[in-house]
Amino acid sequence: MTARPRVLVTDMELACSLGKGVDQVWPALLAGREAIGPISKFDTSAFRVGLSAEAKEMACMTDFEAARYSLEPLLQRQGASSFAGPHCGLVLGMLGGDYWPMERRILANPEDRTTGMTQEISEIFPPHQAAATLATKLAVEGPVTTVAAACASGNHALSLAGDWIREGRVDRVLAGGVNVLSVPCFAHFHGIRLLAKEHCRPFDKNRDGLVAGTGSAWILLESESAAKARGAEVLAEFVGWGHSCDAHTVTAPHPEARGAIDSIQACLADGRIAADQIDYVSAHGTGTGTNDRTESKALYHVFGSRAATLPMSSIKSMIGHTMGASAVIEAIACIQAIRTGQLPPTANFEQADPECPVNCLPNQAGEAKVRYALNASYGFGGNNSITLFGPTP
Amino acid sequence: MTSPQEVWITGCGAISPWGSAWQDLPTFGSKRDLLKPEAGKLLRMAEYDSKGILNRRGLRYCGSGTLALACSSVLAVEDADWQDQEGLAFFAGTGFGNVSPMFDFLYRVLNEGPAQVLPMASFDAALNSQANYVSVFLAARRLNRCFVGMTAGLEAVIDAIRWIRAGWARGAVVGGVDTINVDLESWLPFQPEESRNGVSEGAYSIFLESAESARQRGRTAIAEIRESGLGFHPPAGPPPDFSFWFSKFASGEPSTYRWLYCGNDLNQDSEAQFLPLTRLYGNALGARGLAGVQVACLEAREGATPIQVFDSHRQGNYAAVTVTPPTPNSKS
Repeated sequence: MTARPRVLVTDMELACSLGKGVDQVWPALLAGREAIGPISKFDTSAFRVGLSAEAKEMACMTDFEAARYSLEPLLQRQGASSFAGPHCGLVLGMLGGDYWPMERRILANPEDRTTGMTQEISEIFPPHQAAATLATKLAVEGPVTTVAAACASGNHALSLAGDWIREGRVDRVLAGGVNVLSVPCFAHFHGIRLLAKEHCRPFDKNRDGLVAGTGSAWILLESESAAKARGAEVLAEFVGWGHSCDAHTVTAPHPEARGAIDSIQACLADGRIAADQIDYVSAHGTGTGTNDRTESKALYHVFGSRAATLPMSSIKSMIGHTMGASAVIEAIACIQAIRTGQLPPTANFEQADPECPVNCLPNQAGEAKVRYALNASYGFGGNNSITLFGPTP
Repeated sequence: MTSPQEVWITGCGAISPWGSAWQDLPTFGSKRDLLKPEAGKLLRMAEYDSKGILNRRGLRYCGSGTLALACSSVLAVEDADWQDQEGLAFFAGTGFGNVSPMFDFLYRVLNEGPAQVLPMASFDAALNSQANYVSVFLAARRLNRCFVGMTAGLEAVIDAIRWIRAGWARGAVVGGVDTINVDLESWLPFQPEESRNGVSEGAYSIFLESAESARQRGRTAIAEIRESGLGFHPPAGPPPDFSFWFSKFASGEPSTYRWLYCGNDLNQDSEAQFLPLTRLYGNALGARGLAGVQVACLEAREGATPIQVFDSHRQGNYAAVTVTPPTPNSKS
């Protein structure tokens, strides 16, 4: 088997409804703290549900502002100028464009349909603006791209970054995800009746949906040689990644979890890791009936009877579903699990579901020596994307 | 012997202002009168038989962009005579996603209330919804990935080339699309100073596979294709003139290439040195990279000179691929 360049994690940051920064968010996740409440950003009186994991400081930011907000501490540590030049790339995963300026405009001029898009808004709206503006401010000259793969966007961003480093295209890549809660996104999940009424309860028998959230996160990936050359602290190794497409319907996962299974197996193969080396799974765990059921099927297919005891959890139970950012935030949870041996719980769990007989660490953080951690994300449209992290080599 | 690195274009499909036959797309050597977009105006897609192309299979609840991308992609798959859905990956490039259905969805939710909007309407309003629907329609089981931005089409091509070379997918459909609602014509891309040559909408798809795969299937290359560059130059950097592009992309004498530029940002000094796509198509937004590749395929028939198709956006993204005319080696 041929050797290939290692991809290392040398820094990471995030912001979500639990706060800003790994130092603030990680202890809150381990404590099982839920940061969900009434939406303040827009009037929800016409909706049946008005809950979200809003992240008040970020609620009315543009995607660019939210992405920059979460990145700030990392830039302070690394030095913003260190990203200038052709050795560095940037990739951002996201679900949509910047809808908020458009929402304000429509609400201010409800009768005038033609003024929804103004020149001012059209300068903000284009979905690639956030990544391009950040790259401009950092003077990045390597590849810069924006990728959209629904709720799996974050893992697509991470894997693109990993590919670029493995191929020797660049030495370091800022890979991130961003999602600012918007009316279209909220209305989408409301319309298809996937919003939880009170709490997000992944893998619980009485789960009734997800809670939409705001968040953004970044992981700095570097080639081993570049990290060594500058004496960087290495947090973990980004070991592998795998993708598939259900090609079933745009509205639901394959009932037998075919695509999810393919993506996990592709990831393990890419990482050259056996299933029994996985000690923690950060589940996609949306708290919807269908996702959690099919995700459980996929885990049993890949891990066999070990799926009943393999520690896994869904931090969406605490910070909501941050869509384009979720996989990057959950990748940080995987990296922290490897570094600390502490595993975040699945909050709000009350009653086991016979259709989801998994060890989701209900309400209590776990402890384990984690060699490798798997980060699962599954999006509408059959987007299945998995990333795999391991210890510092 | 065939290099495992070689990637061939073995199918093309287009839904454009000029119809649904990609061979009829305007080229720089066209001798006929061409439709041309006017500054600040949108050149719409021509009428086409979507039901016929999709073999009577419908795409309910979908907007014009999704339908056009599905049709162009089906045409590309048929052109390549590809049957292997297990090994198929789908890559999309779009400038704005499904902005018209999204805008309509948002407007109706805010003005009429969420209860008045069909739940299914939102599935075609997401940024990557066109890719979602088309990957399901094609049963592309290896991947569904959507790039976003003005240079997204060539970014998608470059990613697909990587996937074919690595063996992660046996075949790849790469489609670029943008369609625009009339209500949005007041926005930035339509300002005459932004788009001197107007704007056009459409969907353009190509089918990629390794040379080895094509030979085994007895297929002939429309053209060979390889990546030339992908990067970013901050707007404060050098202007996108010929010397800049040449230093970034070319690996030989400039005279050994022809250069086709898809974007909107050529300066006067450099314009004469390129085949400027905007002169034929206007700004084809997120579809322009794939339109450029198809034009290069048609142009390549006229001679043996490779064509570098490249695109940039004034915010900084740039991407380039090289389209090489078929050689005797490109036949099965």
